[in-house]
Amino acid sequence: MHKITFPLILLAGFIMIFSGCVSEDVPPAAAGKTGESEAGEPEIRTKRVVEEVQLVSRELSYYPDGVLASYRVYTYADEGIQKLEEALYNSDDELLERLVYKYEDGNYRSKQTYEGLGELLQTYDGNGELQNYYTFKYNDAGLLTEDVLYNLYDEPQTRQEYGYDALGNKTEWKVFNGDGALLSTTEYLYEDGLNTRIENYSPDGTLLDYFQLEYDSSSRLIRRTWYSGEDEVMQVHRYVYENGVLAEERVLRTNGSLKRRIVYTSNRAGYPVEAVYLDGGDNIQEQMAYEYVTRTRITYQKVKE
Amino acid sequence: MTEKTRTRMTLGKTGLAAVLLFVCASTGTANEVSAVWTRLYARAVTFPQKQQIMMNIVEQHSRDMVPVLIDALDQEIRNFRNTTSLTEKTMQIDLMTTIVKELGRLKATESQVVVMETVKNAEDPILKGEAILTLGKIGARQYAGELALMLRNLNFNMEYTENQRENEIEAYALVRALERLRSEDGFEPVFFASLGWYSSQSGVKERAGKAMVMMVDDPTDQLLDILLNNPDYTYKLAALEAEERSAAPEDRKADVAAAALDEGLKYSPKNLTERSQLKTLRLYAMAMMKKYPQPDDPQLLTNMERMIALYRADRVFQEDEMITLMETMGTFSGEETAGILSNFLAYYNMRRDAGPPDSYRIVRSLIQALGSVGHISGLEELTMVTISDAWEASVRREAFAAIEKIKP
Repeated sequence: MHKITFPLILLAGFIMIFSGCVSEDVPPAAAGKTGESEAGEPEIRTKRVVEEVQLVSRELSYYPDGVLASYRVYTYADEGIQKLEEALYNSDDELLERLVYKYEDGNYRSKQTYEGLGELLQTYDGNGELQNYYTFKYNDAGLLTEDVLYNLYDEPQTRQEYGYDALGNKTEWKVFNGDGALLSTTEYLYEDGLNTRIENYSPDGTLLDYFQLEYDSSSRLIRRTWYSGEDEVMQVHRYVYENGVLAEERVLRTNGSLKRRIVYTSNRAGYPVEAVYLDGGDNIQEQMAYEYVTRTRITYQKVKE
Repeated sequence: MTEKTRTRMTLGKTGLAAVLLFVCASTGTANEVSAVWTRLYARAVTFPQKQQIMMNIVEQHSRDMVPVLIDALDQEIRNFRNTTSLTEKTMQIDLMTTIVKELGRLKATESQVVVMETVKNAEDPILKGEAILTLGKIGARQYAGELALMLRNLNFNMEYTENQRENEIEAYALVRALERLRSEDGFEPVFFASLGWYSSQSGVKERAGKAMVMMVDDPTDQLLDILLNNPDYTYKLAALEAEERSAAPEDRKADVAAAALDEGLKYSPKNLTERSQLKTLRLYAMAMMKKYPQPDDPQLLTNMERMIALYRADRVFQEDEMITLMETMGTFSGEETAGILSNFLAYYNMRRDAGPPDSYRIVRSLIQALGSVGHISGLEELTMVTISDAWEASVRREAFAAIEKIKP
C-alpha cells in the first residue's frame, strides 16, 4: 500500500516535513489534470506544493544489546528528492545489498537490486550481480499504476496493479503472477477522505479478510483491526500519540494481550530519530536510528473546492 | 480561484501529514500487504511460485512476515529429503537461503529452532553458512555450545581435503556467529581457528583474530589455560598475544605475562626453532610486564631473578633479552627489586677489574633500572661504579644520573 499512496515519498525513505510548506493553485492548462466542474459537484483543483523536507540519509539497525548490526545509506540527486541508490552494509562495512533507482519524467522507472559482496563473500564467489528488479508505470497524474518484479533472468515474477479515485486515493491493488493470472484483489474504502476499510478478495471474489481503520478527531490513525472473512478479530494495531506525535505502536493478539510494541523518539516535527522494537515481554528485539538530510520537494496535489 | 494565491499551510496540518506519512511508511508494512503475501505463499505449490512470492515477502522487510518465513522454512526442511530433482533442489536451496537471510535481517529471535534445524540439515555450504550467520544475528545463545563444537571439529580438519572450501565457508560463518553471540564457550575454538589450517583467501583466521578481541570482556582464564596446558609453543605465544589484544584488565594481563615468562623458562628447547620460539615468548612476556607495570607485586620478580642467575652462570640469554629484562625490572619498586639489581651490578663491578663486561648495553640498562626503581639500597653499588677507575666515563656518568634519581 505504501508504495502506491505515496510512491515518491516512501520509495525515497521516510520524509519529514519540518517546516511550513507553500502551496499555490496551478492553472488547468499548466497542470493538465484539473477536473471538470459539473452541476452540484465540487470542483477538483490541482495545487503545486513546495515543501522543505528531510530525507533519511542513514538508517542504522542495532542488536538488542546496542551493538550496530547494519546500516543503510541513501544517496539522492544533488537537488530535489530523487533517490539514486540505497546501500546496505553490515557493521564491518561489508556491502550486503545495493539498490539502484532509475527515472523517466521524474518517476521511478526501475529499481534494481544487486547482491552485495556479502558476509560470506570471502569464502565464496559473491559477485555483486543483479538479483532482481522492478519496473514501474504511472498514470497522467503521476500515480503508480503498475509494478512488475523480474528475476535476474528477466522473467516476470509478479505484477501489481493499482487504481485510484479522482482525488488520487488508492482504491484498488491487484496481484498477478508471472504468467498474468490474478492472484489477489484488495479494495480501499474511504470516508471523509480517510481510508477506513481495506478488503482482501480471492481471485473468484470471495472476501478473505479485511481491516478496519479508526482515527481520532485530528484524523490520526489510532487503531487498525484485522478481521477474518468471518468477522473474527485476528490482530489489532494501536497507535499512541504524545503531543501530537506518534509515540508508540502496539500490536495486540486476538485475546488482547500485547504481542509487541514499537516505541518512537521523534524530533520536533514528529518524525523518528529512534525506534525501539520490543516483544510482549518488553525484551528489546531491535533498535533503529535515523539521520536526515534537508531538501526541497515540489508536488502537485488535487483538492476539492 | 483562477488567480494565483499563496497560502501558508498551518504547521498543524503539516505535522499531521508527517504523522500519517510515518504511520503508513514505517509501521507500514501495511497489514493487508502482509496478509496478501502470506496467503499467496501458502497457496504456492511449485518452487518457482514460492520464489516469486518470497521475493515480494522479503521486499516488505516486515516483522509481520516472520511467522510465514518460519513456516516456510520449516516446510522446506521437512520436504528436504523428498526433493530429488537437481533443478528443484537448487531452487529449494535458493529459497531457503533467501528465508534464513531475511530472518537474520529481521533479528527474528523466535526462529531459533527452525534455523538451527536448517544448519543441521543443510548440505549446501552457502545455505548452511547463511543459517549459521543468522543464528548469530538472532542471538541464539542456546546453540552457542553446539556451534563451538562444530568449529572445534572443523579446526581439526578431519574432513577430506576436497571439502576444504565448504569447510572454510562453514568455519567463517561459525566464527562470525560465535563472535556475535559473545559466548565464552566459543572463545577457545575461535582462538584455534585464528591459528588453524584455513587458507588466507577464506578470511577465517583474520576474522577469528578480530573476533577474539570482541567476543568476551576478559578471556584471561581461557587464555591462561591454553598458555599453561597446550604443549605447542606457538599456541602459548598466540595466547599471550591474544591476552594483550583483549579488553582484560591490566593487572590480569600482567599476570598472564608473568605466567608466560614462567613457561618460557620452564622448557629446554630441542632445536633452534624451539629456542627461537621460547625466546620470543619470553621477550613478549617481559614487554607486556613493562607495559602493564605492577610495581608492588614482588611475586612477579621470581622468574626475573632466576634469569639473572642463569645469565651469570651460563650466559643462557642473549643481550636483547637481558636489556628487556632490565627495562622491565625498572618498572618495579621496593627494596627487593633494588636488591636483586644491586647484586647483579656488584657482579659486574667485581669482574670489571679483570676486564671489560660482556655487554656495555646490559650494564647501562642495569644502572638505569636501578635509578628507575629508586630505592636507597641501590646507592652502594652505583657509588662503586662512580668511584671506579676501571669503568669508562660514560658508564660512570650513567651511574651518577641514577644516583641523582634515587636521592631524596
